[in-house]
Amino acid sequence: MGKYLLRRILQMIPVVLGATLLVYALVFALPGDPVKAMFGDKPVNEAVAAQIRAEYNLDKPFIIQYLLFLKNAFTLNFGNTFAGQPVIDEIGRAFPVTIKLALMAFCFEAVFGVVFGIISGLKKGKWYDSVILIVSLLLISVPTFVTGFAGQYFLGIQWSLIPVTASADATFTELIFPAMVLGSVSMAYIIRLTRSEISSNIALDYVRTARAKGMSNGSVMVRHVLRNSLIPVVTYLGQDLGALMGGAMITEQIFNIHGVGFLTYQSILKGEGNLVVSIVTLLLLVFVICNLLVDLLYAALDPRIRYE
Amino acid sequence: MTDNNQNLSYEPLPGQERYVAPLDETPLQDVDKVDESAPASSMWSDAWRTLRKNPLFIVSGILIVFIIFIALFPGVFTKIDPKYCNLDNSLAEPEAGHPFGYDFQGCDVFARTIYGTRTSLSVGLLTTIIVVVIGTLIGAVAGFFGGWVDAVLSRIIDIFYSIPFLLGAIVVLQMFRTSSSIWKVVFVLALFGWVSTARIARGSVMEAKNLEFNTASTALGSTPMRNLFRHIIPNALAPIIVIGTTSLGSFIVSEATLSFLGLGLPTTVVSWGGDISQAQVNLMTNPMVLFYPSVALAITVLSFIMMGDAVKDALDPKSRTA
Amino acid sequence: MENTNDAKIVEMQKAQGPLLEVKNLAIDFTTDEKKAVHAVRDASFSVYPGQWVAIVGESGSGKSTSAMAVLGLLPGTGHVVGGSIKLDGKELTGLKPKDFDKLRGDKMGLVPQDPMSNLNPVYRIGTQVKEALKANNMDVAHEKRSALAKALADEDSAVELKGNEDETFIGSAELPALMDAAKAALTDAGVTGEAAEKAIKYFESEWVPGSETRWRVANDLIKAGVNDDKAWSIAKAHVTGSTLDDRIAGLLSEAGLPDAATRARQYPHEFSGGMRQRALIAIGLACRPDLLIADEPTSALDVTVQKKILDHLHMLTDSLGTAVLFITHDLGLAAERAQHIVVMYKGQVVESGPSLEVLQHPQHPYTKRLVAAAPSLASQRIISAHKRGEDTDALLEHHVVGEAKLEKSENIITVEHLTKEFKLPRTKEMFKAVDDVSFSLKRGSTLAIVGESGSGKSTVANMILKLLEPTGGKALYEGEDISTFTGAKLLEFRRHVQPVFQNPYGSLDPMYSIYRSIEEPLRIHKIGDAKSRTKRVRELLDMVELPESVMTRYPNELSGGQRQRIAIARAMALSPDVIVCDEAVSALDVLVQDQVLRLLNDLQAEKGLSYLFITHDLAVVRQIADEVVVMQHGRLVEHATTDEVFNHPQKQYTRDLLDAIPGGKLQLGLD
Repeated sequence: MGKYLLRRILQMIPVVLGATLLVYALVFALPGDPVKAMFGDKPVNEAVAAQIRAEYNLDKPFIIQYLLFLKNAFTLNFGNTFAGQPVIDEIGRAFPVTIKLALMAFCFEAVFGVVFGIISGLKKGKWYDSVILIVSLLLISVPTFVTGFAGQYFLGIQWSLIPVTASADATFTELIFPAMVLGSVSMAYIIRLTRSEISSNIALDYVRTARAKGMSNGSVMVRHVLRNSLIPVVTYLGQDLGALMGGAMITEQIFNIHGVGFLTYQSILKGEGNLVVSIVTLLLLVFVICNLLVDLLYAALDPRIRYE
Repeated sequence: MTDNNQNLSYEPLPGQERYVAPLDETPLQDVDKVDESAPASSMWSDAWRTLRKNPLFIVSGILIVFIIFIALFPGVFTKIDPKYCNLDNSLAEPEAGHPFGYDFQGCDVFARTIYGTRTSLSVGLLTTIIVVVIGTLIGAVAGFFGGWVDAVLSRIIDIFYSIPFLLGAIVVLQMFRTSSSIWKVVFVLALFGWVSTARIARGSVMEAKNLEFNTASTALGSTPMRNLFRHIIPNALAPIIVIGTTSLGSFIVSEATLSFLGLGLPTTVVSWGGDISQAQVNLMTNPMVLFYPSVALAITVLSFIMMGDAVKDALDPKSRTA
Repeated sequence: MENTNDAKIVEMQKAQGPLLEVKNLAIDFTTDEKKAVHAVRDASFSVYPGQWVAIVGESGSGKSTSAMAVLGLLPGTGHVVGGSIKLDGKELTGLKPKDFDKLRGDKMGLVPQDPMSNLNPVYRIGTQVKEALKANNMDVAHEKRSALAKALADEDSAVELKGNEDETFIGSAELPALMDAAKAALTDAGVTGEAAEKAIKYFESEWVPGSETRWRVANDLIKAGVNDDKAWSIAKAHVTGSTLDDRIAGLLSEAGLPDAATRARQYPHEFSGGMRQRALIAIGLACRPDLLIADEPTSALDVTVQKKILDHLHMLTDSLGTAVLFITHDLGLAAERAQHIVVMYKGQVVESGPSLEVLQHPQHPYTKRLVAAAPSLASQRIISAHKRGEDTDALLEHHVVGEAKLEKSENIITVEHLTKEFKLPRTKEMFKAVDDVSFSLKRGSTLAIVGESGSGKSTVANMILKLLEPTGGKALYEGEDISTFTGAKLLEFRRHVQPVFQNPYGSLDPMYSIYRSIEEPLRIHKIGDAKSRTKRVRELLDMVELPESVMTRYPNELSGGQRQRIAIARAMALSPDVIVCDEAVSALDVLVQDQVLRLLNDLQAEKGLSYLFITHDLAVVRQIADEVVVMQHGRLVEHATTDEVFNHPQKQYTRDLLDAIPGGKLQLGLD
């Protein structure tokens, strides 16, 4: 297990370096002058532009720029925004909100996804199986922002069941519906995954062997069918936690939640390239670490992986 | 006890006396006779037979044909120019000839919804084609050659995979904010979209590579390259087709999402995502303006996802969804 | 066991009546189109307590389906539509799933076919045994023995069983004290020196916690010379019951798993196929069922392992008085293991009766066919014929007519000091898959390479086919080193040496029609035009006795045997000199196997082909080979003519292989 962990971490390093390099290159080295982009439609003030270039090392060769960025990123020194605020402070304010939202979405999709998936998988062909399948198909097909607006309109505006937008504090109750919207697509995927895993596992030989031992239907289902079916589901969930944080942008936009996605979006509009790169780098790290944890979890759940 | 079995004078127990079935009850057949009555069936014709009977396929097929027809000939459905907007009509109620009413700019919502089909569909199709070609090639090369080629390509795939799609797309798109071509969206979607196809292609090529018929072909005198194109890729194609169909739907969603954020297609292009973005401001007062393009978008995506499910059922009977 | 004992068993069996009675059983499967497929029709058979009954048939004959119906575990859409299944006089058809749960494990156990897929990969072996004990609330401190077994035990031993207390297991905690007491008792009884050592050694091997019982301990002590009272008092004092873990280890060790307590904590993927099968046997017998259903329990294993496991299972079920319903495709194996045979064909019982009687005097044409085709029996026939001093050429049909005319002395393939090393993953160690192997294949003859899995036989074949490069030594074709062939020369070599692989499902591209499959070599070697190729494909199909209509079909529509014939046709397309058959008939049913072997023999006679025949099945070798090479762990163990190997095997390993041929010791009353 220790060896496995070490190998996974070693494999992670080139991926993190490569991904940050890629993001950095996309922002600062792609055709199109990022400094010019900062000015948007306004005319470019060359003096200011030169100052910005110096501040972000944009006057140095690309690879040096990247290494300096890495060095700074390592010490969480992401520089300042145009308004003079340290980037890390801005991020520090936004991250907790998004983490809260993502965790709520995660719990929602995990609980409902697995529960409906199990119901559907065990009672294949029943009417509620069909209903669950159709609803999950709809959730996958309808874009998040449409689901979000529909909910906002009916539940918030028409029936006043939920707050239409979140306040600056983003309290638990304000985040309940946004979290459901954020988690809805993944929930649908989890339902489908759980269902297909159960229905393929139920026909496996070792399940029959378990029945032949005289185990009751209930314990065969729990110990052999569910236990094994949930391995890929848990893996999916773990990977999704990272993706939820990155994907919260739309939900935060609709419900006016001041989280990371909202911040990213605003900084793009304002042309704060540095802030964007910093946030993306952090989210990428979160994503990669989540993936690493998933690998470890996977190894804990499936002894064959450890052995490999 | 083993040796006792050899005892020839073994007396059968009651009910276990010698029994021989009358021959006419179980007439003997030729050993391993070919059943010539069954219809011939290749994997593709089998898949087609399964598809034809799948209601999921029928419904989604009809919808997709209809959607493609709208995209090709929008003029058949409306004579109104979607780009003709008159602020006098801003948010006006539906009226004769304008069944969906007008949006904030005073443009005809019905016409914009109809014309938006072409945009969404072309972005989806173009991206899918690029992604399938590039993803399959890279995945096939990685899976086929293995060794360091696979190690390098797999790390590159991992790198792209570790960047959350939406964030990556936004970072790139902010560079092209001034461009007004739909190609920038196609480029960005393809840039971050090829990874899943490449992963699947790599896996299925590796699986197909290990099948015995490749060894058999090599022993017949075939070369590795010939094996790759004649045997491995054709056998690895099924999962790629499945993911292609499904991702077409998800690319349409992504395009709409990016346009919704104002980063995708320029406002000069008629698109559902853009219209939804415009309409959100007046959600309180005029929800229907937002409703129509959303429904059109949802139906289109649903059709392709359903088609993907149906194709998957047909090509991979083990993973039946229904 | 003595005959008096046997008579007693029969007496008891008669008194108790059949344990399992299946009458006119009919089972249907419903297809997607709601059509009923009759899998089993009007099948009747019975099993008496403690008896081994074998159901023999080829795949699709309904043998496994019938057995699963008894367990109430029919797969998918299968359901019993008629007849009755009685266990201990109790009707099982129409029983509720809940009531079936109560019977399974406790009254009926299962040893399934494929050891690889029948253990849950995420649980430790011990846990999976524990599930069986827990599900049936088994008493882990005492043995549960059937009345039959009790009677046998009484007969067999010096002690008399009084009650359940005598069936108490040894616990692992009390074993050291028991050993000490036993040693002291031996000394007291005046048993010393070699005799004492021998006795103690015996105790150490036999007194397994969780498996050996109090009365057996007493019995062992008495037999070793300790007096009755002393023996019993030691047994009573130190054999006081086992824990759950002891019992799990005891069960695994009974099934023949060494170091069972440690093994119980391992996961299935750390076990070999044979070890997994032993674990499955332990699970099947964990709750001491009256009836054990063994569904081809060893067909996935090497012959020597198969023999060991079946011997062990036989010993266990005999001592427990368990009846076994043994499902197998191998008539020889069935006759060797069971007293009563039931032959099934196309869902019906075509013949049944005492094993040897059925084997020696088959009456139904299907049984006759089976007996004629079974390779193990065929080689028996040859041996017997030898003994009677008869000319065996008539039986060895493959001998080429006029073979003297062929340049037999010339070696078409020669292998010199061939060695292949593989690097083990994640270590620097090298693993020698093939170690210094030399032999040669004479033109127009058949050389068989025999060995079990991991013997390196297929690696040798792949090096001869230039699918692998040797690490050392050479393989020569017509005197030229195969590894030097490249480009046109390699293509030329491929024309002459063709393979037929084991897996008829894998060696044909499922996307290619049969026509394209057979045509492929012609296309690769750019032989002829479309028209002449079509003609050639027709000829080839005719050669392998398949109708022309299969040309437009796809591999998935054909049976295993048909596919293998297509693979032979493809190999023949280029008119090669040498065909390398890598386990070419191993996956086929007996009759189909026989058919393919005949085809290979005919082709050899007709075209003067040379065969390199790779197989794990010595029985098949007898029918086809002129010379045999026996391999083990990458090394050549023995190389001689087929008759030499069968009649005068030089090495122990070869003798083990010969011994393991199922039905090898049967006395056939040859007609």
